[in-house]
Amino acid sequence: MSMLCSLACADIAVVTNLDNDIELSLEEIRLRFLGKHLNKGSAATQIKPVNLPFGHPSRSLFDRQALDKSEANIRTYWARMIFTSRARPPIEFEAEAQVLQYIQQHPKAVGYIDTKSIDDSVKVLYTFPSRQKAK
Amino acid sequence: MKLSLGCDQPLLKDSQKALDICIVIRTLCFVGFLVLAHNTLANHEDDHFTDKIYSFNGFATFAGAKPLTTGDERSINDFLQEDDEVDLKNHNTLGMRLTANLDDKLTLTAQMVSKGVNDYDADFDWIYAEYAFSSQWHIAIGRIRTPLFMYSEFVDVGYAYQWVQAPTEIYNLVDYPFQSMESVRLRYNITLNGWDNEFLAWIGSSADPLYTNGIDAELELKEAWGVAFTTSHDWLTLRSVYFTGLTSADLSNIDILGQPNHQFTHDNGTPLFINNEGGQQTYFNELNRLNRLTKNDISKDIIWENDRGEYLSIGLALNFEYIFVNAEVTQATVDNALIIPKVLAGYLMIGYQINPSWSISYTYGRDKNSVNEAPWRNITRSPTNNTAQLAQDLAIFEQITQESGIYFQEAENQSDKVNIRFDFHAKAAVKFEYWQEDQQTPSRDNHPKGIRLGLDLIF
Repeated sequence: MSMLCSLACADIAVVTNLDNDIELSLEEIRLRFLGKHLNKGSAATQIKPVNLPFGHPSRSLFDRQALDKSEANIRTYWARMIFTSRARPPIEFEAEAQVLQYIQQHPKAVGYIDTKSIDDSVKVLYTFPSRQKAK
Repeated sequence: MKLSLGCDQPLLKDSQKALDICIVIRTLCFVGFLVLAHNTLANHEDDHFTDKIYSFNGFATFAGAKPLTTGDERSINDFLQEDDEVDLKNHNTLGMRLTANLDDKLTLTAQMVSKGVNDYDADFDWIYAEYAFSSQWHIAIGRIRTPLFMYSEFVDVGYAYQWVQAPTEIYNLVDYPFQSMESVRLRYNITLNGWDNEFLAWIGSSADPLYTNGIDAELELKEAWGVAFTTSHDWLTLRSVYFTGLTSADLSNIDILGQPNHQFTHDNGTPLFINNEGGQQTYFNELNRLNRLTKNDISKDIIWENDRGEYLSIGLALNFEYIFVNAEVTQATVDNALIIPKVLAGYLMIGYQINPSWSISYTYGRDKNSVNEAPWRNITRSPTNNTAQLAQDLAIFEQITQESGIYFQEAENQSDKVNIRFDFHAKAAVKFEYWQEDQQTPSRDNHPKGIRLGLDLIF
């Protein structure tokens, strides 16, 4: 954990089902969570991204670090994508426990949670330290 | 594409009661669309979006506008509004979008929009089917929003941007010709080295009402095609568009003077305009006489038929952590069309995201309308060498065209706009807007200003 980080901030990890052997680049994660076009053959086309709601601390960290967008940016971004039929947003769950449960039940699901919430029921693909850009 | 339920029939048009019934039927159809959409969703909702057969989304805007200036200092963009009254209707919008994924490759989309400015008539402004050849290539056919401007495709969705009224230099409150067109559209997406690229190419045609300069006619667009390229990387988005087509408008039914009792006469006393109905015929008679007299065919320059229209645009968006910038510059021209000016328009918006809920922005807009050169002004001599008669005829013709409004005036506008946006909910925002304009034409120099307050929702 970053030395700069106070007790209030946390790290987040991108996690998937234990049976999922997929290898994803950060760029593929970004594109898939933004519903953007993935080049042919990208393994990321197979995954099911799972989101937390706006205002959730892990969502804010993920948007900023993995997607490189602010919350306000993301809100208008999805409004534009939906009403131009370019893309649809990932499924959303209220709490990290629900994200974990969904990932355990769906081999292709990929989500993100606070590193403190990680248990041995999921596989960690990436860890994002707080206050440090993933890129 | 309006719902056609008989409301436009002349018989019904005369009856207010029949019109009311029509509006009720239209409303019921709209509600029916909603219920159908809801039921289909309820029956088919799955645990993940990619598995959904149907998806249904909507948007709404409720806004109030008040001019702070009255009388002559009114804005030409607020022409729908009663003097200094608060307008609670014209910015209201309700839209619903239904997308049906027939399989992995084939999608059907329909969007209905009801606007206060159109008396809440429900319009289908998108109805199209899209087929995915691959993850990169998509082809769509149907009625599709023409992507002329950066915000064209979602300008009805107030939640998706910062303003209550998008800059009037480019975006109209009322529907404009070619806004949606019967089109075939090809879309290509590719990501290269972190740059997300989208290329659109389309062909299409349309016939839409044209409201300009007090003239009400139908504008036809043929052999239209366009290309749009958008690329984005990190905080930067760039966009460019080219669009062209052959435009025609039948002006034979327009009210040429707008003043039924106004009469011009030749020196010999023959009336130029016998009455309002005959005025247009007289105009064309006069045009033919001028053609015969000068052995020129200036009709082809004056009559709006198959004149090429061209449109060019570049756009820029910067999205930093706290600062956001948006700019667009557009240019539109129609060859030889006296009724339509050459338009150069643009805006620059700079905003600051104070926190996830509050943002503030300033927008500067500018547009310049310059007239096409009147073709008869180049005529200097007549085959009969009767220069005095020619000069007189040309002067009469100039007068007719100018007073008729067929001849467009030069105009130049500047505007300033300050917006505050408060996202009080994940799917709703309140926006405040203060605007002022400086509108200059040869006959007026106005400085209107006003405020608008809007609530935007998506669902």
